[in-house]
Amino acid sequence: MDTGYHPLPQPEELPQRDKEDAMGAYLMMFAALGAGLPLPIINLIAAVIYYYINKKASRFVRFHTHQALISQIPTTLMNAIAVFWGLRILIYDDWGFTNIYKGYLVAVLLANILYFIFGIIGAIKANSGKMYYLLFFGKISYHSVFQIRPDEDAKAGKQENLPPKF
Amino acid sequence: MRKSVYRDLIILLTIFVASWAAFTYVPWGDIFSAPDVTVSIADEEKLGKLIVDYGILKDPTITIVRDKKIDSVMRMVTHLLVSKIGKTDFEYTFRIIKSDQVNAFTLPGGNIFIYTGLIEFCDSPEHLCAVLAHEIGHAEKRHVINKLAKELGLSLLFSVLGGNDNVMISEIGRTATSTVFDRAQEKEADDFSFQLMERSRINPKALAAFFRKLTDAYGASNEHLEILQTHPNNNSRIKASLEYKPDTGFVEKKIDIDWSNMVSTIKNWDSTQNN
Repeated sequence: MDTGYHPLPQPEELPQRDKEDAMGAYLMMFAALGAGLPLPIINLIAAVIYYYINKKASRFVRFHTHQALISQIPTTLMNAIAVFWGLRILIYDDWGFTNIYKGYLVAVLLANILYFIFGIIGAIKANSGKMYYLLFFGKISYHSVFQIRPDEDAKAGKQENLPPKF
Repeated sequence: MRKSVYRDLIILLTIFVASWAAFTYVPWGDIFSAPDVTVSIADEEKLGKLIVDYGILKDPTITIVRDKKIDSVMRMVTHLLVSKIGKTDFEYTFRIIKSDQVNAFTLPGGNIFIYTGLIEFCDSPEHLCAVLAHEIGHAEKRHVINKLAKELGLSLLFSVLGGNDNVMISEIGRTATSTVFDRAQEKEADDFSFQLMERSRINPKALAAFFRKLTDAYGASNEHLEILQTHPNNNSRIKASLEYKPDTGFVEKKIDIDWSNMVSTIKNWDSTQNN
């Protein structure tokens, strides 16, 4: 049930503040990724917090924070699986350091590298006020941020300060 | 819009699964052990001979058991295995060392040493065969020479080959006999021994039986037993031995040796009757 989308802001219309906030979503994620390496969940928490802080921000900022958030869920899960799988091998020693695990590690490493590269590109684009759609995630984020939802938009558009009633 | 989202998802999943599968089938073993076999067979044999001659046979603290009866039994047992190795680069030599330790070790060039304690500890010739097959596995896979090359460096090994530096040789010998193999190497030797035992018509479960007896007698980690040194792994090694499936046509053939007689001969042997 697509009801259409809000118009996209163009780079020259966006205030510098929005561009920086949008870029911050990606950079924040890298900082947290470093901090969260042993337990790859901190970056996810950081992204969720960043997303909620910017909940009231412009659609452009929200799009980028949303994309940064959802796009790191799979990588985070993959990293977590790699860590727990590795621990399991170390501690119980009955699964073994198999080629399947080695292959998984390399695939996850590759995914992280790719993710890092695309994250950097995302940050640069966001800073110059451009939309940047990651494969799959870009579309989801665009849909969830820019879709016109009459009821929600009405709620958001409700004015707090009203003139006195004569 | 929906369709293209699903398409994207499928693309992502395919990339991930494909790279996982692709990297799973990369021959990691070959890549990581690539620098291994850098010592030629001839050099290994030469080095092995030097170590045996100067490090073992000339060591006054080591007594080699020489007895017609024991030798004939050993020849029978080892022939059973060696004749089934197939194509091999080594001339295998088996020697028995008088010592109560339950131990066996392999030196470069297919020189395998068994302690009398180990033979006495074996319940049957099959147990002994299992240990020997494991040691042959280390030799065939060239674990000893690779470990030596890694620990001492190739240049040192080659320098010894040139001259007769006895001190250095016995030092290398000491390193070789105290070598600890890593888990992958033990597994490789185990797997080799299962196949060799199967070809020799010995039940591969003999290794499990031997392991179990060892762990029962000495606990899971006995640092004197090379064969048990990767101790956290013992259960999986026992399991691997029990789970090894020989070909359908496999028929076990008991080794026809009066084992208790052999054990008592070994027990009663002393160096004065060296003949």
